[in-house]
Amino acid sequence: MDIPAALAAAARGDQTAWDALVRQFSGLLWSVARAHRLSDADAADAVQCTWIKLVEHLDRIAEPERLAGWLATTARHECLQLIRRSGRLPEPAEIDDSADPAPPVDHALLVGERDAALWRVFEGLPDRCRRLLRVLMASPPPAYAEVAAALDMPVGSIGPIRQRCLNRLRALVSGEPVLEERS
Amino acid sequence: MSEDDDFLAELRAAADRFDPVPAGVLRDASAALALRALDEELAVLVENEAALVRGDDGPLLLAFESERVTLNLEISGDTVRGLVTGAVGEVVVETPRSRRSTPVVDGWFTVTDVPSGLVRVRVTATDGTVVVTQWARF
Repeated sequence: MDIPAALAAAARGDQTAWDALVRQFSGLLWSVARAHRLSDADAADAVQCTWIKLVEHLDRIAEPERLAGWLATTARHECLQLIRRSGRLPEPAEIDDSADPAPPVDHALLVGERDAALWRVFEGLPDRCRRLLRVLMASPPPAYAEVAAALDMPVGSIGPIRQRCLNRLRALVSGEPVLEERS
Repeated sequence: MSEDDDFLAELRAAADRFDPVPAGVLRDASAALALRALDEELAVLVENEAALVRGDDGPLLLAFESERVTLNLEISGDTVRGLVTGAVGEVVVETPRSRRSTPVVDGWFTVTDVPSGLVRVRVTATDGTVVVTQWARF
């Protein structure tokens, strides 16, 4: 996708070009919001505000080829503002009691759903790992520069932490028979 | 490394299934382009006292300026109160999903029941130019 061209077209009011940008980056923005543990409503709010900020800056994006990084940074700011407004701490406790939809493992076992069990185990990861992996799980896969912008982390730290977190998840998976036997 | 990539791809598939981008979020994103202020003069945020004086429950004080008008907003709960100079007629208080017109009396206007999120204000300068503020979060 030619992002600078799509941006320029959107700045001229081209809805088709705009919709192409929306398709390309909504997965990243949603993942950034979820990485900050926002609820459905707050995550939707953060993503929409990010797009509105882009509309406001359409002809003022300094480096159009780095739009994804700009969007990730803007989304992070929106998430932090929402967290501040609701009085929550930006780094919540490691135990997740939010309402993320995740079918229980028992259900997963019943229907033989590996994905459901994997998702459940993922939700139980320590926050630092859950945050990073949630952004890396965006569709389409984000570049490390965008992940760094989304989480305010040094680009160089992402590879090593990713590896540690995936190993940690593997260790948790090994405690789940339905996952272990096939991984 | 590629083993990690495979594992991450598996996780991505799980995320696509259990936490996909809601359709409404995509619709709102698509509709956002129509919120663009094309012909209006932009009133830029010049002062935001939120960080300095706002307690958790205090009002949010914002000041906007354009070539033709100045706008001071005081946002408290769901109420937006404003003082405008250099404008005539009604003001329009906009959120991404709503628009409300309200009269200006001696430079002041008040709108209640504004849904939290983003807000901007549209006014008409004395020479007829439409001026709109930047979006502000409250």
